[in-house]
Amino acid sequence: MHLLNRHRGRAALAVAAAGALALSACSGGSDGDGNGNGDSDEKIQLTVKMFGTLGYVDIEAEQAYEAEHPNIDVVLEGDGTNFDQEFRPAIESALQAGSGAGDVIAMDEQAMAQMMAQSDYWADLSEYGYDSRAEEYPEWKWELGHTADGKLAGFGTDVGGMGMCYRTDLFEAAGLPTDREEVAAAWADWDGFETAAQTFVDSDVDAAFLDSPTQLQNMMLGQLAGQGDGQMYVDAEGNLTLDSAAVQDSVDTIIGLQEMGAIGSFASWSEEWVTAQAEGGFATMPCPAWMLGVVEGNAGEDNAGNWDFAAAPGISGNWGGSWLLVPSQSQHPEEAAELAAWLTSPENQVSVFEAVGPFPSTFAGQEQVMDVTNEYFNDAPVAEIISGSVAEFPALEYSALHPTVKGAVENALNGLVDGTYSADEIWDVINSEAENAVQLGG
Amino acid sequence: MTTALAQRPAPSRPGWRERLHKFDIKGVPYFLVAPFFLLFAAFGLFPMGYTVYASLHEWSTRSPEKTFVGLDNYQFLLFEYDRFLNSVVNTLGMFVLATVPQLIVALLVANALNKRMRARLTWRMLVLVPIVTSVVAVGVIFARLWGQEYGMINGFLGVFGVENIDWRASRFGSWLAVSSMVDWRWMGYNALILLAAMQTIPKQLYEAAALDGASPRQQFWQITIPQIKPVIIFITFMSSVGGMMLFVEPMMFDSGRFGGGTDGQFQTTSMVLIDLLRTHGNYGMSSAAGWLLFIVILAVAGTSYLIVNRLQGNK
Repeated sequence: MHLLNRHRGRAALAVAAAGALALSACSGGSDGDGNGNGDSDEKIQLTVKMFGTLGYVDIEAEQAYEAEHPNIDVVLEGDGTNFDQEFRPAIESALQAGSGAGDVIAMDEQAMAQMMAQSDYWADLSEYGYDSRAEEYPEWKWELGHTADGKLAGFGTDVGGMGMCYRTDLFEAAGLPTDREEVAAAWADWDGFETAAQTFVDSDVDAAFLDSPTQLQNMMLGQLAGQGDGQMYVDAEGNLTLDSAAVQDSVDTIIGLQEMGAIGSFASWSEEWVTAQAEGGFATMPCPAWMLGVVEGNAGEDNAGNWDFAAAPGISGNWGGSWLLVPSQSQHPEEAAELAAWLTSPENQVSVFEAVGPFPSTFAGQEQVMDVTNEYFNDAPVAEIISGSVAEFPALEYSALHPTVKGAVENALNGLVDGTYSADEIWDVINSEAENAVQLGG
Repeated sequence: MTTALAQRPAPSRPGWRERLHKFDIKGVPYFLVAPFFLLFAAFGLFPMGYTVYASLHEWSTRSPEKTFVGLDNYQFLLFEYDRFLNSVVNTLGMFVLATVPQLIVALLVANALNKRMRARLTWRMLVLVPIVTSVVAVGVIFARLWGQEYGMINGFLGVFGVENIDWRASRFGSWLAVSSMVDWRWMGYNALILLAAMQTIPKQLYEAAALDGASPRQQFWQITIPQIKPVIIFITFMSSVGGMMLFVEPMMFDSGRFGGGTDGQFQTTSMVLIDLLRTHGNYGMSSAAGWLLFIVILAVAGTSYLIVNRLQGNK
């Protein structure tokens, strides 16, 4: 309660501050006439709402854009804003209220399905001729920037991609290959991954093979859905599709790995998960591009050379990445679209990557950083592995209910691993929790 | 009209000075408290009223247009959504597990601090330190202490040959861990309030009792406790309200998630409320949960008042 109130208070403050800013900008810019449409010497203010700086402050995007466009005043907002606690709720209310959402909105992958479900909130950028940018992006990244009824709402910024972090010291102790090419070849498919898990468990090395059940299951789900009928947890009408091949096979694989004793109880972001990366509590973990820095920070200098990075089973996968969207409430959707397109251009994606690290989502951007390696991970060719994983990632349709049902399923799988549920119960739990999530989603 | 007025036996009209004086006495107090009540109306009463309205509607991020559904939201929470009643049990359980030892220890600590001792002020300051520590930092530290593989508590138990316990997986284990966090934070605060109350007790009472041969134990039970009873009632009441709204500690114990363990082992009602709002974006259901929680708090605060009030008879 207390926490909530504090955030509400802060959001209100932010709204008030934004309002004051808008007012002062209006009074400063206009010479008395209210309608500035088409007036060329009228300065147009474009507000970009972000969670954090997204690297745009670091590459001085504001100055560069204003220098090229003298009639545009770019305002970058959101430094230090937490996505889930502050940003998403504030944007949700602003979109519902019809004002205050700015002209360009940054949106993280986890909220995209929900945002794109409300078509009315978004401008259609294909009206300004941006459909041509489709070829710059992997298909799935491009498609996810479209609303449920097909409007082009925005452009992708970065991608997470997916590879597999693994501990060479633990692999060696367990008698598994340590060279990343050999590792990738050994688990080229999911059977190979299970075989490696069995070898590791049999070796009696005192560590879990895999950190936790959730990321691996999620990655497998996307791959299997892409190969099959495209169904994941929920279809476009909001009906559960838990009997789809992708859900059944991915969960059954997890149950198998759990019975084998290969999965650790290190839920992502828990204190134990952080410590285990330094202590060698588990040997493998699915890693998007941005996770490498996290692992390096958690494991520290003492573990330099212990962690390595290889292509994951089945190769394709993604976790994270953002978009820049233009809301329909923007007074200048065309100019906003131009700004969003410029910010997400391959050149700027590369600048942002070099400044703060998010991996480019455009093919051209990836091309330019292709030879980047990671020293901490034994000079692994990170860029090559990540771009491979996103190039093959399937274009899937995400229902607005996908995130909450996904959360319910993953919570149940964590319960399987911590012993709360038995393998016999797990499907009942998944079904009932998923039904609750659908019902609560409205 | 004017004639009608004039015909009345006109009472001597008070001068403006007199009226100002009258306003000063009768009106100004209202004027002075008005800012609080205006703010309270805007940020307290209005939201409360609005949540009543919201709780009667189907309203979520997915369906922004509100549809009237009567008491359906309440009915769903009470009879269909297992997590809700589960969370009430958890909240009550953790409340009892945390509050009872906390208040007893606070009483003992306050009594000790009330005695003559070296560097008394330092000790009194030190019991306050936990409150000025950020709750998030406390959460991080305690989550580590109660970790399964690398936790200090399991490490200690391991010395006696106890296998690593997954505290988050069991109901009682997680309650114990969360309660320890609550106690650590609030024991000192309550001790200090009790200490302040103890210092108002006239010394003569103790002197007289000592002359009559009462032991320190008897003095404690016969003088100290009855004398500070109003304050005990106050802190019990405050602890009840705080305990029923328990949120940050269990959330931090689950790495910032609102689910409270894989099966809601330590999910409190406040966490359900926030989960409904943040995870599911369901404004209507969340409002209904808020009002149900309000009723639970009233019941618990009322009950604990009655219980404490009966201790030592009525004064």
